[in-house]
Amino acid sequence: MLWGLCYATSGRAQGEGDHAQRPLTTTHTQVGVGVSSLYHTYLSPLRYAGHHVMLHYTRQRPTRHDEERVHWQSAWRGVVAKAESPTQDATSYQIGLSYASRWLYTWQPLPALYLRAGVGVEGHVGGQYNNRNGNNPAMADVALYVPLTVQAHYAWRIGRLPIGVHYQVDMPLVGAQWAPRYTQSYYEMFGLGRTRGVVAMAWVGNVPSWRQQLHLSIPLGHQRISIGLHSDIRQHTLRGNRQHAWHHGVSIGYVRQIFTRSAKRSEQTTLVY
Amino acid sequence: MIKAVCKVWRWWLVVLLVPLWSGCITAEAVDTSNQGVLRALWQVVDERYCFFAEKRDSIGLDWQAVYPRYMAHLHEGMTQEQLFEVCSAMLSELQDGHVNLSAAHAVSSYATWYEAYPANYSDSLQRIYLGRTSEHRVTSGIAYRLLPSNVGYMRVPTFAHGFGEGNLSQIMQHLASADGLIIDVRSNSGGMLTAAQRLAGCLVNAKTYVGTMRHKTGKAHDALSAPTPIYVEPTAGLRWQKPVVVLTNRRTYSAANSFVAFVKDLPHVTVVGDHSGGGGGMPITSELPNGWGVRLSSSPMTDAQGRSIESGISPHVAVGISSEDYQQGKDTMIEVAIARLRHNK
Repeated sequence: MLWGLCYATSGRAQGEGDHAQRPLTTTHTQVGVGVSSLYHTYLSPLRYAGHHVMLHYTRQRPTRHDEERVHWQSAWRGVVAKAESPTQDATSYQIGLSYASRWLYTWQPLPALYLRAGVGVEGHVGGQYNNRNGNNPAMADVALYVPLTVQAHYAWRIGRLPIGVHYQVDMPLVGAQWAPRYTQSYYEMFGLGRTRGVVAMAWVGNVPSWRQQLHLSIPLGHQRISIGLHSDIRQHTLRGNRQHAWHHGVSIGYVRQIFTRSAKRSEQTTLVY
Repeated sequence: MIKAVCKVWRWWLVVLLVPLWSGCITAEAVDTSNQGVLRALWQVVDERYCFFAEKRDSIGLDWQAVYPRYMAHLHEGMTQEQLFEVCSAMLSELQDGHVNLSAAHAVSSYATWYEAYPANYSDSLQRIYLGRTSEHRVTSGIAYRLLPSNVGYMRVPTFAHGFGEGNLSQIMQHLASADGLIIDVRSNSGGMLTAAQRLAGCLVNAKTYVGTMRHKTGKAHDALSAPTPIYVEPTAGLRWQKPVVVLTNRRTYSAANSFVAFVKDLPHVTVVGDHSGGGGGMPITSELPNGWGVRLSSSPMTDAQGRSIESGISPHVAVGISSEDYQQGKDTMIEVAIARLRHNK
């Protein structure tokens, strides 16, 4: 997803005065795989280790504010993970889907370096299931955050090859998180209707989570592909329970630029992002 | 070009050196030694079990004293099966049928709550009352028929089946001409509380307060939430308006025990039989470093009067199966129930 940002950024870098190509929207679709670590004391005191598949879609474009220094980014992200207990006799499954809408302000400390930072809104739904448990088989993961996002993009050329390096980190600052109390059962919540108080205030102190992506973008014919690393650290300590879902992996993606005004293909392919 | 890259890498190094690539909320180190397993078992019970105060008062349980006593039983070269025996014995200190330890070779459980008492239930006798397969109906695990004495009989062996209101309505319709209804939950070891609530819903005409549930809010033994009221909602279909006898024995446990608590105070319900087995704490599951599973009570329940149902419920009419009746092919408890329902006709 950061990738899309790269693209947009580089486009801006390349054609600062070329308003014929503005505004442009960059989308970045990527798929990733990697290792996972799942831990939730509501389900088990043990850490489960396994793998995940991640799908990420980002869309970013400059807005008309402050001479296009303000970018808007939206991102969808889905993760499915499967992990085994240390003794390999229990399995935990995790699924998560999130959507974020962010506004980022741009600084350009060096000619080819773009830094952006901003806040937005992020919603997350998902949960974790453990196949050995009885009355506590699963825990939902539902949250609404205001995340801080920092983005850095550097563009350069190797010979005639335009390369982009892109990094983004997102971190929830404050929000609300689904958090039943310690051993509170889902029967009590939904069978008996005691849902009051199952949502807790979240902030960086009790939900120290962050998501990072580091990518290279490389031209391939008239298109651009991305390769990179992702790290999704999602964790909390709420209502006596401790949780983490860590995902680290590699990803590959496809970057697409959409010009809302006319732009020639030859100009697109020379863009660095 | 190179100069520019070097300048930029300073920025990247700053970012990459920030230890953001690993988390900070981690699990405790796993200790799979015998001592580690016993300690983990003692600890998960210490932090999540809900009946320490009640067990202290009823059986003198001192959980802090339990740990060193059983740790002393461990020795070098102990096999996993021997460790299992020690761990099981430690859990038996809780005297709770909802507390189990499960390993690949065995499942331990505290069974004195029913083994020390007469069974008061016989498959052979029940077969006499239900008759042949063609003489009774079965739906969602519930066997039922109209007895020759014109009393309806429902055998509910478990609440593990999620029977619906349609099933119950059909049963009520089939038995509608009976003078009374026997609901036999003897040797019903429980299942889903929602199923118990639904069956109880056949016996009420309005939303009825029947008890409470609480849950642990933290590791402290007395860290329990405020009670959540439990209500039974009337089922949408046919509901039973005539007298009801609920049959119980020592193996009426968990959700079946809760069913008895839900209906015991209803004006047209009489509980007949033996003291029920108890199991008034909804259990949760956890696991130990060596992969063994452990189940323990964590959400205590009470009846409508606020009395704990962990130790079971006393019947209105205490009766057991007599040897004489058994030899004559009679179930004393069913006979008492029939006589009571016929008398109240």
